[in-house]
Amino acid sequence: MKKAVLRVCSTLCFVALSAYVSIAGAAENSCSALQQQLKPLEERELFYRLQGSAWQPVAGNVVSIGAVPTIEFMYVVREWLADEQERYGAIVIKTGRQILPGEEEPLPNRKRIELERLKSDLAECQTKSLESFQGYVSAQEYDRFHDYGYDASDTDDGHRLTQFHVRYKGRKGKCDRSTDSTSPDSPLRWDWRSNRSQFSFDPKVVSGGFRSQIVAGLTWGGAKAEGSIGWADQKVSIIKYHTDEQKVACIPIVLKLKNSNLFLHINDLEGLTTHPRLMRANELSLQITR
Amino acid sequence: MSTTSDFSAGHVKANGPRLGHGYLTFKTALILAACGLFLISRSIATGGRVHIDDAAYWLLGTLPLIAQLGLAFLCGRSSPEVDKNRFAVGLIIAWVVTLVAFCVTKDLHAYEVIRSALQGTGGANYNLGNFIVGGLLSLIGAAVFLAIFFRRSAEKGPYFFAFVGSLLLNAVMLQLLVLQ
Repeated sequence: MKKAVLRVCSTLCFVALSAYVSIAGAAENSCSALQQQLKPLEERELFYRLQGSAWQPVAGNVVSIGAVPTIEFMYVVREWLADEQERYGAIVIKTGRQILPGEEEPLPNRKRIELERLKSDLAECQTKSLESFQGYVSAQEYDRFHDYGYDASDTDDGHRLTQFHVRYKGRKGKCDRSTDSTSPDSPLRWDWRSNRSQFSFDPKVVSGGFRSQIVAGLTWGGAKAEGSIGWADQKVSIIKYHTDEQKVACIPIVLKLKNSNLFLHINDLEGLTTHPRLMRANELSLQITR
Repeated sequence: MSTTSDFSAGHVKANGPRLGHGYLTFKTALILAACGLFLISRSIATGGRVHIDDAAYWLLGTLPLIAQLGLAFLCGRSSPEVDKNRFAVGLIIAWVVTLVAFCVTKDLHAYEVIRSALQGTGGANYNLGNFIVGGLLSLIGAAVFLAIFFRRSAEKGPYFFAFVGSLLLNAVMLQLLVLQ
């Protein structure tokens, strides 16, 4: 009994301490909040506001917020392909903070990463997407799954990762998996990125695809959980979206801040760019400083 | 005559392998490659928990080779014309090719594409999907064995028996020793 109480208390303390960031994203269209913007909303545009002030576009990749406890973002999805009248998709939001100088970094198998999938009405591909999901996995399991593309292990952490990932309705109404380790046409075009690699905390994996499993096997000591090294309080969320009649969707994100040196990475799994050719769009990265 | 051409002739006992220095070196390299590839395959299957400095897995990698020797012995018994030594080398090559195919398809993530397709359209569960993909990879190895031996052999029966045996044995070993 005493052990059970202790366990519950420690879990509650852990949750309370680590929930410095709460993402209140939703798939419903919130673009009306941005109506006062002078120019039309653009694809991958990010707005922010502090404590109820007016929305302003994020310029550059650093936002200084002073001492405010909360910052609100609005991420804009705008379908720009002329032959597509609407767009379904999902964005991945990764947050966390840099390990402070002198702060001890937990071992990868001890460090926890929070996973969150919000309840969605866009349940075209499977019933699981109707439900919300919240849980924690070790950084080691997370990095092995997303940095190297290994199968999820047959452990609680592995099962939680499998539960977290979801099928979603993508472009042209096609059902895709957020965990797809390949993009159907990309390897043939020498682009090794995949949906799953976009969940990595390692910028090299996000921009260049998985690390080699063969090289990891040939490495003394084996695969290293590198993506999460140097980060703490990491949290990953999946939010599904659907554009409106104007081919736009606005996704609100609220961060409650308890630390400095934070980062926010937003990755649209269905985002496209024409530079240098029609291909997966790059991750949007932002530093939040006080 | 070079080791490779001597080996690829796939002949009967009368033209059996010359156990010269080159051939021994080739066999040693083949055994080391088989053990190393087994270790890398195991590393991939365990999510990187096994690595090059795990001596136990180098030793465990010899188990499939013993199984190949057993299969070569069985095939050799079916016909006095069959050279068991050369047969064993051919079967080990089939195993090496299977492991190379496993590592490459895993590293390029084509393995998951095939397995997902089997799970999505064929209704196979995770383990059955793995077994079927493993069977396909074993088929590549067994086909290489057949390509080396079958065309030039006078007696086709033992080679076809070895082809089927290699296919099944490698698929089962891939499932039990690598993926489990």
